[in-house]
Amino acid sequence: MARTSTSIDPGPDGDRHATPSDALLHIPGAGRHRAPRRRPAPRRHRITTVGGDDVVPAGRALATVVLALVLGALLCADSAHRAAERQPFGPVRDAALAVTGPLRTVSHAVGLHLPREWLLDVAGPDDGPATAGAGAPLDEVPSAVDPAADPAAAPKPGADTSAGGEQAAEGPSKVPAPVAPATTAPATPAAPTTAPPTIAPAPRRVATVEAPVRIWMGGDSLLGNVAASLGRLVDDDPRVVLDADFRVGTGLARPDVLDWPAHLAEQLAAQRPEVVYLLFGGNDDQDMTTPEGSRAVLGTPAWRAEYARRVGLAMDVAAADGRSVVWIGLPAHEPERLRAAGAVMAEVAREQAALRPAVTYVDTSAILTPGGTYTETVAGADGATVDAREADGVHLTHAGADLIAPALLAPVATQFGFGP
Amino acid sequence: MLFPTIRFAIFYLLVLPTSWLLMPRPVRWRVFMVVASFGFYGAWDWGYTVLLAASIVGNHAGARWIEAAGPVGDRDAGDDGDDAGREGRRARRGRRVAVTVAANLAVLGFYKYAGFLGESSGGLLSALGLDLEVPAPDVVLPVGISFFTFQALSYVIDVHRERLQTTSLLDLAVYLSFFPHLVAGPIVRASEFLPQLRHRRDPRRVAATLGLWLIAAGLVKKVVVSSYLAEAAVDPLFALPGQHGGFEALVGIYAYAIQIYADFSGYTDMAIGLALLLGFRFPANFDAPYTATSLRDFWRRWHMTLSRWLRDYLYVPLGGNRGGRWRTYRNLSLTMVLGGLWHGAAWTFVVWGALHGAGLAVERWFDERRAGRRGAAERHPTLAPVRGAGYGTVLLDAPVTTHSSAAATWARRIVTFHLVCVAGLVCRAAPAAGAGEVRGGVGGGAGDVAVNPVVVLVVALMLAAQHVPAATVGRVRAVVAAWPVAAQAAALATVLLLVDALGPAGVAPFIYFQF
Repeated sequence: MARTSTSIDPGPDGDRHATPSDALLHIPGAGRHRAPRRRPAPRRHRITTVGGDDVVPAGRALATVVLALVLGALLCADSAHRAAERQPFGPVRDAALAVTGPLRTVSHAVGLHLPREWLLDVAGPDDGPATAGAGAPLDEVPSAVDPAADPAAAPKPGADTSAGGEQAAEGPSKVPAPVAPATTAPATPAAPTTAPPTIAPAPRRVATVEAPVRIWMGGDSLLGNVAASLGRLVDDDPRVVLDADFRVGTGLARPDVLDWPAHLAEQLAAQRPEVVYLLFGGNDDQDMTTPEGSRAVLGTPAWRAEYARRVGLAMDVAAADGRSVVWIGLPAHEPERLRAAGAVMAEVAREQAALRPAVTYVDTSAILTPGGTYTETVAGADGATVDAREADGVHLTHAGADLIAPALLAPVATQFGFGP
Repeated sequence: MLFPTIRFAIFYLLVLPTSWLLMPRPVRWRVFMVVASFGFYGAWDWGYTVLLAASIVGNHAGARWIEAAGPVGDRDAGDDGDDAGREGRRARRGRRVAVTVAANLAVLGFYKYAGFLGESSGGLLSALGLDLEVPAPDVVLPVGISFFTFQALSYVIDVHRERLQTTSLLDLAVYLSFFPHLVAGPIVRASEFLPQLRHRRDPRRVAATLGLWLIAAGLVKKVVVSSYLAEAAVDPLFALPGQHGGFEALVGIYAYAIQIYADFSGYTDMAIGLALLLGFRFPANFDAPYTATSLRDFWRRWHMTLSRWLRDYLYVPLGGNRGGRWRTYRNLSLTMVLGGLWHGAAWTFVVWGALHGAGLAVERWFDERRAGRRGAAERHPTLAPVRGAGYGTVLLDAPVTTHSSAAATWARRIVTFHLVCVAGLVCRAAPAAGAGEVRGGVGGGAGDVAVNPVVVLVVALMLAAQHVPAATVGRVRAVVAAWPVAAQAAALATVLLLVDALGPAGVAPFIYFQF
C-alpha cells in the first residue's frame, strides 16, 4: 500500500504534530521517531502532496459517498426541508420542496430524524423557535400601541401619519394587525425628509456610574458598523453599557432563517436593557408568507401590510417591560430592488413608530441620502467629503456610520441625562 | 457555490461519477471538467467566467510566445549554440515573460487594487493640500482572482524558466479552472498539476478514505468551529471592542486566531479531499501552524502553498539572501509586504505583511548574532552556504533551531503564537476601530466575567489538537480504512449530522474568498 509522501521537517522536539486532518499529511507512525540529536542540514522544502494511501476502486469510493449522502439526507431531513422553504419562491424552491417533503416523511417514518432532535436538545445552536414572525403570536407580548393615540392629532416629526388610525381604534392587540392602508403604492420612494431625523423623548432618569443605562442593539448586518460607531461614542462614558447582536443574512421577512421577534424576546429577557435599538431591512426585499399561509409578493399591498405587522410585532417585543426603543430608519440604497422596497420599509416603520409612544424613529436618510436619493458620498460635519457606503451600495462604511451615530444617540442621551 | 451546501453536494454527486465514467476518454473528460468547473464558477456570477476564460486564453498565448523565443538551455550541460545567440534568446524570453506577467498583474490590479490606489492617492494628495479628484473605480472583486492569477503566473514563469513545456489550451483550461482549487486554493502550481493530467487516473486506486476524512474534517472546522467562534466571541469583540475588556478580549483574540485557521484550513481540507476523490493530489496547505516555534517556522506551516509561491516567484527573483545581510532583510520585508497586499487591498494588510516581514528579519538578525557569538557560521547550518539550498533558504527552508530544551521550545511556541495573534488583529480590526482598541481591552476591564466557557473550551481543544501526534491520527484512519463501505458511509453521515445540528443556519462566506 502506498504511503503519503511527506517532507515536512519534524518539530524541534522531534514529534510531528498536527490537527487530526493535518496529521493525515504525514507518514503514520512518524511521531514515534525521536528527533536526531544533531541539527539537520538545511535543504530545499520539498513539495508535500496529499494522497496515495488507503487506495480503493473508484466504484467503492462512489458507493461510500452516495450512501453517506443518502443516509445524511435522511438524518438531516428536517433541516433540508427548512432549507428548501428558505429558498426564494420559484421553481427551484418548488423542486426542493418536492424532494425534501417525501424525504422528511420517510425520515420520520423510520425515526432517523430523532438523532438530530436529540443533538439539538443537547447542544444545538439556540436560534429560537420559528413562531411569531411566521404567524403564530408571541402570546405574552402586549402591544405598545397607545390606544388613545391619534396619530393625526399628535404626529411625531418625520412620521407619516396617514395610516394607523384604524389600528389605534382597535386598542391593544396581542399581535398588531396590519395598519397600512392597502391602497398605498408600495414602490413609491419615501418623501424627502426635511425634518430633523429624531425627536426628543421625555427624560426617564439620569444614568450614573453606579446605575448605568444598558443599551442593546439588534438587527441584520447593516447594524455592524453602526453598532461599532455608537460604541466608540460611548466608550469612555461609564454611564453607558452597550451590547450588540447583529445577524448576517437575517431580517423580518424570513423568520424561518431567524425569528427575530422570538429572538428579541429571549435576548431582552436575558440582557434586561432599558433601551433597544433595532435596524432591519437589508435582506427583506423578498416575498413573505402571511399568517394565513398565503404568499405576499414584494411590491404588492399585501406585502406592505404583512411587513407592517412584523415591524409592529418587533417593536412591541422590544418595548415590553417599559423599554425605550429606537428604530433606525433605512437610508436609500443603490440596488434598484432594495431601493424600492427599502423606501416602503422606511415608510412602514415610521408609521408603526408613530403609533407607539415608546418607539423613536430616527431617519438616517436625512443624513445619508438627502432627498431620498442614493449617494455614495456625503458631506461630513467639517464639510469634507465622506465615503459613506460600502461598494455594495447597501452597507455603511465606518465613516458613514460615524455620521449618523450622534443622531442615534441623541434621544437616549436626552432620556438618560448623559448628553452633551 | 460554497462547498458545505446542498447545492454543491448535488453538483459533486453528478460530477464525481461522470468524471470516472469519462476517464477512459481523455478529451471528453477534459471538456466535461472544464464545463463543470465553469458552471461552478458561474454560479457566483456568469460574468466572471469571461474573465476566467480570458485568463486561460491569454496565458496560453503568452506561454507559447515565450517558448517561441527559443530555448536558452543550460550552459553547464554543454548545450550547442553560441553565447551571443543564447543571450539574445534569453533577453527575448525575459521581455516576453515580463509582458505576460505584467498583463496578469494589470488585470489583478484593476479588479483588486484600482479602488484602493485611487482612494489612497486621493487621500495623500488631500493631505498635501492638493484638492485633485483621483478616480477610484468601484469594481466588484471576482471570486478567486488572486488564486487563479497566481496559478497562471506559475505556469508562464515555469515555462520561461524552462522547467515546464507549454501545454494544450484544453489542458491549461482544466488546470486553471479545476473547481476544487479555483476560488480559494490551495495554490497548485502548473508543475504539480499538469503532469497528473498527462497520466490517466487509475480508477482502481482512489485515496477515498483520506479524501473523505479531509472533507469531514474540513466541514467540522468550517461549519461548526469557525462559525461558532465567529458568532460567540469574535464578531461581538470586533464590533464593540471598547465594551469588552480583560480576559474576554484575550479569549476573543485567541478565538479569532482559531477561527481564521479553522475557516481557511477547513476550506483547503475540503478542496484537497474533493480533488483526491477525483484522482488528483494537491499539495498540503497547513501543518499545525500554531505549534510553530518561530515566525519562519509559522510560514512553513501556514498557507504553505502561498509561502512557497512567494519564495520561488518573488523572494528569489528579488535576490533572496544573495546580496548580504541588509539586502536579505529588505527582500524579506518586501516579500511579506507584497504577500500582505495579496491578501487584500487595504493598508491593514500592508501593515500585517510588514509586521511579519520585520519579524522574520529580526529573527534572522538574532540567528546571526547567535552564530557570531559562537564564532563560526558553519556551526550554525542555517547560515552556512549549503549546496542546493537555494536562495529562498532564509524565507522558508532553514531548519528551526533544534537544540532547545522543552521549556525553551514551549516558550518559543507561546511567543510565536502571540506574535501571530497580534499581527492578525491588524487584519481584522477595522481602520476606524483600530487594533489598538482591541489590544487595549486586554489590559483593562478586569472585572468583566462575561467569558463564554464553551468558547474557551473550543479554543483550548483546537490548540491541543495541533499537538496530537500524526501517528495517532494515522492509526485511527487506518482502522477506518478497514471498515466496510456501509460503516464508512455511516460514519460520514454522522459527521454530516453533527455539522448540520451544531452549525449555524446557512453558511458564512469563507474568509479567504475576499482574498
